[in-house]
Amino acid sequence: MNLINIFYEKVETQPDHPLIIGPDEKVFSYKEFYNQIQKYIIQLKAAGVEKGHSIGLYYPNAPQYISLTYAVWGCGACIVPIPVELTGSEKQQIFNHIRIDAVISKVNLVSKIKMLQNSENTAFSEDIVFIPVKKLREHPPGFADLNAAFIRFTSGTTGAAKGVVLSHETIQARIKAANQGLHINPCDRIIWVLSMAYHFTVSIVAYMSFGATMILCKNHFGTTIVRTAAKHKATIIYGAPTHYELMTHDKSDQLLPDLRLAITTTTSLRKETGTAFYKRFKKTLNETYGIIEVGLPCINFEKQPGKGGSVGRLLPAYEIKMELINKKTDLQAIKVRGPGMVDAYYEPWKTRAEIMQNYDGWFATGDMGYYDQDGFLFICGRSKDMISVGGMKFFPQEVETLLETDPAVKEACVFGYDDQRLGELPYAHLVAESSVDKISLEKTLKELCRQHLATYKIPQKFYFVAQHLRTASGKLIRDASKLKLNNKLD
Amino acid sequence: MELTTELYQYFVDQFFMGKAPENFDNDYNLIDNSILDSLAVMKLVGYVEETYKIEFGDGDIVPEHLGSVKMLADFIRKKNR
Repeated sequence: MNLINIFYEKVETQPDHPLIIGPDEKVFSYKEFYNQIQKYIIQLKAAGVEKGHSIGLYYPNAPQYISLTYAVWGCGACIVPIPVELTGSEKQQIFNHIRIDAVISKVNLVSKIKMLQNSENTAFSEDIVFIPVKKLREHPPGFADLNAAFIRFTSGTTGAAKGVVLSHETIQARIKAANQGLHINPCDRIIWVLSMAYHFTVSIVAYMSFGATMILCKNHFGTTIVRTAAKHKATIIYGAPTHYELMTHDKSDQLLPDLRLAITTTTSLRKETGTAFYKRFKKTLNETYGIIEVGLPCINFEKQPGKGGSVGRLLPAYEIKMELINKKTDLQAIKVRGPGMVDAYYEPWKTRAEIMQNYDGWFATGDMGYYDQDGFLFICGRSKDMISVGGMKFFPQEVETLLETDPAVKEACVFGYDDQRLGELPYAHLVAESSVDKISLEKTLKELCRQHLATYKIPQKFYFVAQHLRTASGKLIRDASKLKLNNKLD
Repeated sequence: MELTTELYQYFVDQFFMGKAPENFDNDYNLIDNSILDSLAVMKLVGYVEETYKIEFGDGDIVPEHLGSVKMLADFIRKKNR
């Protein structure tokens, strides 16, 4: 089974239907997109790409990102997304932990990955270049047994790497399950504003498999999104809370009568944003519960604003198990199971069965929440420490480990601090050597972060503290509200 | 420091990791050059509001106000009048 075959079926049934409208208004029909994919498949095969290879995709949001992904699948290889905003050392980390045979890059980005190049580049077009790279490792034993479509690199809670492996079968199962609620069909025109490097499976693959049209905006200002949605009579917007917040700042009186879903993902929605959006457009925002290891088990389809803050009811294909962890607050740990669960973690290698066996066949999400009396799920917190800056997520341990490489830093504690517009911003508490010049140290640490971390991970403020707050068992407390009581935060 | 210079330096630090391209000047198009995605817009708005004590109202977060260093400086000056 290969996802490209599902796309081919759609090309057969609706060759002239528009598939993508680019930011320059250029329209690609299903047939035209098919032709572009075929061209890339020929070029990739000529460059030696074959089954078992994994190909890094280092490309910004563009129609080509999608056609290149499908072309790699057409060769039987799998994709490793390499987000363009990563620093050199972050990219290097991906190459150290995941076997990558070659990278497809936009020409103007080649200089940023030239250190990984192994032999001569091959130009696929004016914009696209194929770069064979030094293979730094082999796939783990067991990888060949999976029909892998994606390996998505994530850094783990201990700072250790972890790649999430998703097979063609898994992605197909996810999009089928999600479409029991989304009902995506050829009449849908979907505004796309998220990063393709982070969002692809239960979104772009679904749109292409169910015959919809995608519309890419010229930029991500609210006014532009509103104008583009109105012009193309968009039926769905797929965005993050920041996009909807920006849309509420549009001062025209343009409504979006064709819009049937305004999907919000990546991070929790502030109540104020949902209220402002409803006031401005007379539409509710559809909050979702997306988990890379699971898919999209919950979507809030409520048309009236009363259920704002909930990720909705469980989709029919999934089951949720709530386990009481705090009797005082009624908070419960959320476990999920259903079709399309993660196939494996790449490093250390762990199969689906091994991931789930610790929890009797359930996936422990690490999130906490509760159901209301109408069966709507509310997510109330994370038992993990992940920080989400406008939907871009990372673990604080990654930043702490970097800060602690400076000998003047005895110990770092990085945590998410509430921000009205971005949800959270990273702040750092530092225990430093007493003799050190703190102003100079802060400058050094900022430079260190700039060299090694994508911008959204860099702490916005550094505070020097005598000691960190800890639980009775000695674990760092990263809860900003508790830290605020003990240290001055502004 | 002059407002435009301050803003220029902020962009160099925050969006170019301390190393701006040679052609980065006060008229450099921050949108066409893909510097301002939604995250960057929100971060910039938060910074400007906090630093220059102004508030972005409805219709203020638009390319015409944030499209370049010069446009942003003009907008801040107008707000502070």
